Amino acid sequence: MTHINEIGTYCLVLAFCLSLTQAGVVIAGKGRGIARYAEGISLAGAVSIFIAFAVLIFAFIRSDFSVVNVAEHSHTDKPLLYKISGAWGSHEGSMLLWCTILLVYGAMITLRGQGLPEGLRLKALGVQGLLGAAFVGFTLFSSNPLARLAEAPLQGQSLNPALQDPALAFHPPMLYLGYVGMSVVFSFAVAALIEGRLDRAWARWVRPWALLAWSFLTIGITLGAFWAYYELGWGGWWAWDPVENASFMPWLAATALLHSAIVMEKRDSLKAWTVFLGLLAFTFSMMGAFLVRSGLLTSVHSFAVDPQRGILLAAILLLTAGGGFALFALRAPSLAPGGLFAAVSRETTLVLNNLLISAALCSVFLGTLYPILMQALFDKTMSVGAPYYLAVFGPIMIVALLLVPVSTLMSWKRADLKGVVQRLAAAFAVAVLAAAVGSLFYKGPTFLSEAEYLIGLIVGFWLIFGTARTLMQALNFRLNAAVKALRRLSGVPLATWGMIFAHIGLGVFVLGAVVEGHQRLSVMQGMSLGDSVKLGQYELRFQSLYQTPGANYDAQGGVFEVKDGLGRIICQPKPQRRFYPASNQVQSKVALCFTPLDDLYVVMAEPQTGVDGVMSWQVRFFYNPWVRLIFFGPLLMALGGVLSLCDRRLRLGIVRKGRKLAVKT
Amino acid sequence: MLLLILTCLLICAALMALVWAWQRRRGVASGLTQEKALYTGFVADLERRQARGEIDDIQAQEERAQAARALLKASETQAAVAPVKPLYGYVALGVTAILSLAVYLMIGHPDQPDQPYKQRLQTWTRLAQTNPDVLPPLAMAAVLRQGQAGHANDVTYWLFLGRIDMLAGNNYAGAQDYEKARALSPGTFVAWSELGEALTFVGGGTSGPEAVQAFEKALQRDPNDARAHYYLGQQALAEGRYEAARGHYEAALKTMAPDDVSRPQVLEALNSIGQAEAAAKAMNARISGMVSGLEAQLKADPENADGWARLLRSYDVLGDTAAHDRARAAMQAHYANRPEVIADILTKAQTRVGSEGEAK
Repeated sequence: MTHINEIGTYCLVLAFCLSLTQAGVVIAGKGRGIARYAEGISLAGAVSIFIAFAVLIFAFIRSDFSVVNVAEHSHTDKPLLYKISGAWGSHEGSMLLWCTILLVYGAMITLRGQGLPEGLRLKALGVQGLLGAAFVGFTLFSSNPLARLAEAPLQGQSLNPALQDPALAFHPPMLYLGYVGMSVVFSFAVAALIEGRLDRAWARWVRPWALLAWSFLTIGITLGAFWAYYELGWGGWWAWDPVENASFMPWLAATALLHSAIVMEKRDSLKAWTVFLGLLAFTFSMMGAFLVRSGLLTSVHSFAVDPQRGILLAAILLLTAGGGFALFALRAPSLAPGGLFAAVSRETTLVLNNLLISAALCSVFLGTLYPILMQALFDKTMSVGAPYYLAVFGPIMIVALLLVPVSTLMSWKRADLKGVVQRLAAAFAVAVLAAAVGSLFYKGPTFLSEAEYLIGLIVGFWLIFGTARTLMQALNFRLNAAVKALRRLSGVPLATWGMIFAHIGLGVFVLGAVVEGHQRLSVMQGMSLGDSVKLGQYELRFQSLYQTPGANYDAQGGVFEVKDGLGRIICQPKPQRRFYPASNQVQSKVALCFTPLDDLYVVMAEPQTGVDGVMSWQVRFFYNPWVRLIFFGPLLMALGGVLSLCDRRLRLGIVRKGRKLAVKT
Repeated sequence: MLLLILTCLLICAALMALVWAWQRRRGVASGLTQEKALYTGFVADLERRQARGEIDDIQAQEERAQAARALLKASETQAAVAPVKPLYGYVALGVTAILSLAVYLMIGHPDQPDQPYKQRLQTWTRLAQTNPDVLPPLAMAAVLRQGQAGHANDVTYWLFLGRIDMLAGNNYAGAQDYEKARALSPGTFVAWSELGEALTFVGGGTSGPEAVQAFEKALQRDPNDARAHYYLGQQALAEGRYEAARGHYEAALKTMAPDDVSRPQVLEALNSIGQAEAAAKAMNARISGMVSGLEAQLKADPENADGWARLLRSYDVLGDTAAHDRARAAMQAHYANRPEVIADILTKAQTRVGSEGEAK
């Protein structure tokens, strides 16, 4: 008889105790000389919780239904990938994933942070220990993923079929790597406030962590949007759902942080603001966790859990964020304002960028929390949807995005605005021209819609061409010396490449969102075999039905044929209706016709028998132009983040390498 | 349990050893030494960037000054720092180890071994061979399912597995088992009949077209199949075909033994026909009244597309073909110049109420 599950439980307990000790030895202080033990303890804590997480995954793989979590979210028929991803498909399992990442990040501070000043590093580890104790304690005592059942059921209840998808298997780990990555920035911010050490070096140490978390968060959000797009079968990719917003808010805060940290590093300015953003980014991450798990929200993403857990999470949120901001309030007045800069300078544009992103963040925050507050205070049910965000968030972001290329060409301290305008004039003209040509192909329902479309295209092209101009500037590109300039490509620092990829990615995303949002076509119709429906230049014809067994489902699918205006066959989409016997649920599976930019998207609803006895299916047929760019753009942005991380200056632990270099020489 | 506690102690000891080893590796260099090395590296990196032209001279100077200030501050604070005292560290680690064991013993279940499915299946298989009566149907089904490859062409096996699956509440799996039995032996009425029953269970108690077809096939092979008669009777009753329902129930009762446990159920169903008939008549009368009202309304004001769709749908539901055709002709006459409205009305009329616009 083995007791692997119990070993997992013990390791979870041990991780909790180690986190407490990690915080304890730092608090006990240098006076007793034991603060340095926090380093080794952080490593031990990470190993311990990693074992607990591995045990949970093993329990899922082995279908050990004596573990409550496995019994409630797995089934022997489930494919291996979804057995493994089932480990974070529940509230309890996902909390363990959160804690595992949190403690592993703590260990990374020890392993990769040897180049940091000892005091700062140990204090950051102490804060990380407190966060670990709070979250592991919450997981252990209120949401134990390894809780046992005295009588194991004969079979499990399986995982929600909508979650049995490769994108969703990887979406939570990526998202959590981003969310929890912000905890490192939070810990460094608190540590710096305690130490009273906020200088350029601090900004440079913090930026790679923020960049790492931001890159993961970008990938995580994109995977989530892609999953929502092709798994939920509604044709959209973003619904301004409160839980989507909960992941978007830390991303916005982290984006602002990355830019303000640049100013702090270069010019020793914006210290208080940068620290504030560091605290804010993780606060929003924790708020996301709270919103999803408190039962406050009804969403496809939310875990149905009891409000008691929500209260506990709210308490953790208030204590940690409250503690951080209270410390900030105490210390902020003593932070020297730092380097001065002229009104026309890169600093100014980055400050503007920060203000605009923060305003956009506030608009999302209000839109997300307003319905919850109305419900709580006045018992009024309401929802805030896309029109609000397009009206409030959209214009703010347009201004912020228009500033991007300008900012990248500005000089530090004092810039020559006229020179920048001259350098960007051609890029702007090309962007306007491209947008004008693009607008010729769009006839909107209203003038406003057409204006939106044109402005959106201008912004997208402006980001791309304006950033390209920045690259030309970095290469000192001249038409008469183009070859020479291209030779300088390899000399461009990776951080600059990162910035270029991220900004171009943003432009690509904007183009995709604008074109898809305005030019999307859809039709829904009851279709029987042989029926056809027209959508724009395309014709969809229902050819036949087929049945096919899956790993843990039986699928009924339709074979369709899509023809273009010239009668050419474009593709044969085969959407399915999958029946999962284990959970007795049916899931529609979308069929996509792959083209380089656009999607033809077909989804079948359940069959119905007409009064004439003929079976028909409600079929939704979408034409989503340029939708690929919506997912490709953020991937370029994340790639930009990774490239920046590879830059020698920003690589984690680089200062340590610098020291070795110094010793050798 | 002892082994578990020992393992926990071993893990704890290994992790404490990791802490100790890391502490030793780090050495006892003072914080100031480390800070010096750190800022030396920082300045070296600074100079490298300055040499490459990544930063200007003023910024380099500012950063150098900042590094010097940080070093100065470190040298002031480090004087007050005590060297690492291993004893305190050992005490902290010891307390952590004891606390972890105590908490685990409070919330853990050291007496509860793992129960991986494979292992449980082996236990059930042994029980199935020695004492099958104690096995719950779900476990028995899992045991039997292990042998599917060897019994791929064994009708009895699939029929038995189907029954076990049905007993276990796995109606869908049961239907699949019966489907295999039926495919192997299309002439066996039991396979058809039980398939029909399983499909009815899958349909939540309603016999869909596939289930009805299975019962009809069963009756073709054995006209005395009480099960097929009963379910066909139920379906006929649900569809308002009372005479057919009566016929099926009576046929079922005729073939059942007097002490058959299902007899009271069939009798009850037979007795309910009269009641259902009366309720349906009353309902039809009410609907007819409403439909007549609607027809009169449309006669007075024919410009009501939704009304025409409702009227056509109502006649369809009532099964009044003549009235349906009459209403359709009137509607088409009214909208003779607007074929798109006619098409819309006909589509709406053919859509069942409540099935419009399925959620995203």
